[in-house]
Amino acid sequence: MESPQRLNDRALGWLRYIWDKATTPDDWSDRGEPHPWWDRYTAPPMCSFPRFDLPFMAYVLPMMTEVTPAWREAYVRIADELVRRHRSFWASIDWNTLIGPDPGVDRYPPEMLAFIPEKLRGCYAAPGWTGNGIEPWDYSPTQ
Amino acid sequence: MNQRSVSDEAKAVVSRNTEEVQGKGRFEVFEELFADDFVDHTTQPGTGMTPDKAGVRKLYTYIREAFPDFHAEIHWQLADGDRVTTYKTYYGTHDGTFLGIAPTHRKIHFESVDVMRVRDGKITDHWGVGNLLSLMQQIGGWTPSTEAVISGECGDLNEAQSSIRGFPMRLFNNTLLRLLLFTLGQCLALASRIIPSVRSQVTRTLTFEISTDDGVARQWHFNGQRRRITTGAGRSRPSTNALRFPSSGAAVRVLLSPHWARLIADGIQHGTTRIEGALFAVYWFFGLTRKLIAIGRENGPRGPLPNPYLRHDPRSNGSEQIIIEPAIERLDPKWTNAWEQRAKLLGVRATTGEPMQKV
Repeated sequence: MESPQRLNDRALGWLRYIWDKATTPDDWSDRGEPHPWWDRYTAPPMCSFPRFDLPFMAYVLPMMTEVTPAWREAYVRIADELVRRHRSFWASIDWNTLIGPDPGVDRYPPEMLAFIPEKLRGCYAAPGWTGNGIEPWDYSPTQ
Repeated sequence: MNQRSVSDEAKAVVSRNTEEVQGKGRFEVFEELFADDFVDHTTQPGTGMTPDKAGVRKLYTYIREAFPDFHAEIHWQLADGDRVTTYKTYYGTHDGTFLGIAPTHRKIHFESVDVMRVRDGKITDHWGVGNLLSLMQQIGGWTPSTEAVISGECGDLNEAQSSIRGFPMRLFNNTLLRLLLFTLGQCLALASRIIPSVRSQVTRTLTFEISTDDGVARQWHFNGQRRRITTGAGRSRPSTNALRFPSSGAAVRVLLSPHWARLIADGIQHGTTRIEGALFAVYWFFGLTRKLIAIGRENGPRGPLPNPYLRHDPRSNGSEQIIIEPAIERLDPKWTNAWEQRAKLLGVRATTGEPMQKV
């Protein structure tokens, strides 16, 4: 298949979106909060954090760079903004603040329990609960 | 105009009414096709429709509201001069109230034979019969009594004989289902008192009901505060979440099948099984029953997992030096900024039942 020579309208719109999103100033430190368009609203049971949005946005950059390499300043700026955020407090807020097993593990609503195998309900943390420091670091339920 | 031309024109008008007015709800075509002095010689009793053009329009509108995808398949048409006889099957989905029957979201079909007279391109008269008994049976508005079935009053002989042969099985399934639901009900109620893993799943106050169209019903009340389950026979009013089967046999098959999830999905797909309330509650409830009826339950590994990463092993790092940060056990209470940001994690708030409004 012949490689495209230009970004189509859809790709251009996408590029503009991620440019705006990446270059809009916001504070990802523990004193601030990401701009609302960074994802931390996806429905449970996934605990969605802005950290996941960073790589998801980055996936498209290499493909666009292949098509329009001359726009390197824009791509580099976007990548820089993503990397800068990756080193911030909010990029690892779950690792920083959700310490140990989930204390609400037996209080999940039924709509979350329905996504967890019956055997593990009530003792298995929601997907996304990284629980920094949890032992034994595998999928062994307590009962 | 010769006889053949009159008949062909009449058939075209009737077909257009069936396809465009009845099948697509195009009432501007209705106004074009029906004569102002139209007479319906066979109005449906109990519908309150008048035997004139306005009455037919009202009937068509009513049917489209009850069955939004209403449409017909014409099997054959015979024309005798200006009168056209049509044999057709109507299809639709019961998404609106019909003759007092609340929407069941079932796919329905029923046959109809009718005669329409067409003069000067307009429909002037109608005589017709439709198998509305079949329709009412499909949406649960009518159930043939046992006596009627045995005496052959409700169908042809083969159907009646088939019903008679199936009667013991229906009785057996009905009894088995009542027994099964009673046992399940009591066991779940008891389990909520003594089995921690059952109690841990009772996190919200809700009602769940299983019922069938042949009269079996049981309800469970989940009390999220006390983490208790109570049960009772009959339908719950109001029911927050319910799973309704067409028959006891279908319910027994699902309850005792290792493939219950697929069977429920199939039933929903074919319009025989209905769910009221939330779908997740059905799947959660069935998972809960599998603690007691371990049919199709997935067994976890019996022994320890092979090579689990249980603790840090310096040998796995090779010769290079990796600095391992000491593990922390809790979030520093003095780190107030982190506590404030933590409170903004909606995913976490959802799991703990905290209000989802932005703090």
